[in-house]
Amino acid sequence: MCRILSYLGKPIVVEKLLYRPDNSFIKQSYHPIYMSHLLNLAGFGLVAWDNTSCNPLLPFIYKTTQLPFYDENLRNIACKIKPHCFLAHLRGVSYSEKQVVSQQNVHPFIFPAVDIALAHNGMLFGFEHMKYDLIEYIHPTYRKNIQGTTDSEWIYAVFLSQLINTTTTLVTEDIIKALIETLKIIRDIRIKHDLTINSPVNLFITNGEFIAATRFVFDYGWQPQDDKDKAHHAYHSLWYTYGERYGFYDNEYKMKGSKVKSSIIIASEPLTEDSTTWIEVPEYTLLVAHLSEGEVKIVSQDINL
Amino acid sequence: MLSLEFKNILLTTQLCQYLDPFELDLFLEHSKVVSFERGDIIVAQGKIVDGMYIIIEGQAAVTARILGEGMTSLATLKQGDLLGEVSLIEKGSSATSVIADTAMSCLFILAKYFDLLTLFYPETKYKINKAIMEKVSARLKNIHKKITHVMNETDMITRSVFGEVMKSFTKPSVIEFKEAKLEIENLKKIPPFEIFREDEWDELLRDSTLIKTTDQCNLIIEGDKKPSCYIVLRGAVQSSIIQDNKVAKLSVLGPMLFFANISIIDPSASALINYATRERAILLKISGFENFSRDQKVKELWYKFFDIICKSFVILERSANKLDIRLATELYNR
Repeated sequence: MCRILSYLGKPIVVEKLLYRPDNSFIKQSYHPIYMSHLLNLAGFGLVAWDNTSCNPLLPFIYKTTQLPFYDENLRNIACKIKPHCFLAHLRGVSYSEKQVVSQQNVHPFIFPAVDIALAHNGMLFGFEHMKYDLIEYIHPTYRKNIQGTTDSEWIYAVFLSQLINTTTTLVTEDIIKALIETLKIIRDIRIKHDLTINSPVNLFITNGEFIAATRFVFDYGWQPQDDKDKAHHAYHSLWYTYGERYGFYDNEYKMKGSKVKSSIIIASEPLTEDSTTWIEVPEYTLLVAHLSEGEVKIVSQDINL
Repeated sequence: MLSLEFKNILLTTQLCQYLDPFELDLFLEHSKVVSFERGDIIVAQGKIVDGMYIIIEGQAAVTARILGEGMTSLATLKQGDLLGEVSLIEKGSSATSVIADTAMSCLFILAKYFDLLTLFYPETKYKINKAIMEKVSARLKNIHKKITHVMNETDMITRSVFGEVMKSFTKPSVIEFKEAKLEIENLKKIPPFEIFREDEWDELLRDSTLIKTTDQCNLIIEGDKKPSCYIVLRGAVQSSIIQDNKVAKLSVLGPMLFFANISIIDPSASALINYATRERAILLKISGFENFSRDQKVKELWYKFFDIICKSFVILERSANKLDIRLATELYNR
């Protein structure tokens, strides 16, 4: 189980989201409110887009396997960068020596010459039986870019391969189509290998102009009888809040209300213990947020494969 | 000690109409009178509410910061109205703030005292639960009306006719208890079901059936009048509101979760919400519960069972409120 935080809207100092609120993203690494039986200590990653930076289409990338709450560099950088869009991920894996904790496995994934990043919260049960079937659906350009051992990086490669073109401006329909196609490919390979165990696939995808997120589980409610990896049995949560801008107002961190909603946060869990101004995205849902004339537009649809 | 005047006001409230004189005294014994000045915050949005208030004098405004709408005025509460009542059933933070509009006096009962009633006076707790459910049911009907109105007005995509025909052919099959023995044993250990004694489980299971279904099998359809209830053992069930062949999804109920038709708490109502399997599933269909409330020997079982029913409707109300907000903020299924 992992934690993901994404933001799109008015430029914001990253520290305000990573460190400041009472359930800040960094705090979620060692003290998550939801699914607190597994800590998220296996790596931290961040990709961020800033229109005022040089080469604005290329995101700033920071990845580390260091514990983020001990990472002085991260704190220093978080106080300085002010992107309009970012995606951050805390990796949480079961406490086992079999897990590979390495920089190659830290999300978000972003291949060379591609400006789309993906982070994943979940786990495909029986992935070792599936991955060689997935190759068929991965464009040769992307096959050689897979460096790590996670199912997430393979999902990323399959997703990119479903996009007709990754360099032109993507519209919401392109993203939805490619995401649904990716999930259908995974579903079909699971059927082929008779994999029928609960497998959550909360995906976050962004290129600095949109954020797409899924709240989805294959075979929800069908846990293995031996019940070993409880972290992935629950329906992983997904929340959002939106408004004019995020900050400290009336003695608390929240989205400032306004007629024009120009900023959105989509995250695995709310950044504040008070979640009443956050909305939990329902299960089996795909959400896409983009900016249109400075205003956040949210499109959502049920995932029916 | 309450003045006679306060007591007379209390007697006119909906809640106290459920209680006999002994129970009313018992309720008052465990309550206290609290006063507020104009502008005082009685309940703060996002904070845990630790009990229920009954207004005996004055009035209060209910407001909420709603996503996409900002600070919104929702209602005015007056003498005899309840606030924070849901906290007696399901612990959680308040979705609204309640602020005194005038000087106010309220009767306040701590949720933990209410929990103690279960041990010593389960029937009294049951009656209070019934009064709270009357309010929850009324609110659910209102929110359902609001949601279906929005669904009527928006160009949401409609369901495929083929899918609906297939759904109508999908029927659950009855399976033997031994096939799901492990799930039943697990269920007995998990809150809130761990409250039943072994003999009560025997009673609960006596007329109940285990059913196995494929994906997309209707279990409760809007308009159903017959009270029915289920516990999901494996797989998942989707709750949704259907209007004009458009579907708006509420939430998914996974293993060890309970759901029921609203007619179980409000006999005059027919089902507002549709429940259909979202994955292949194994469910426990509980039958014979109508007798629990009549049979003196199993009254205690009925009171415990009613507790679980109440919790499920409080959670359903939250899901319905959430859907209402989502329909206003998202371009959903367009």
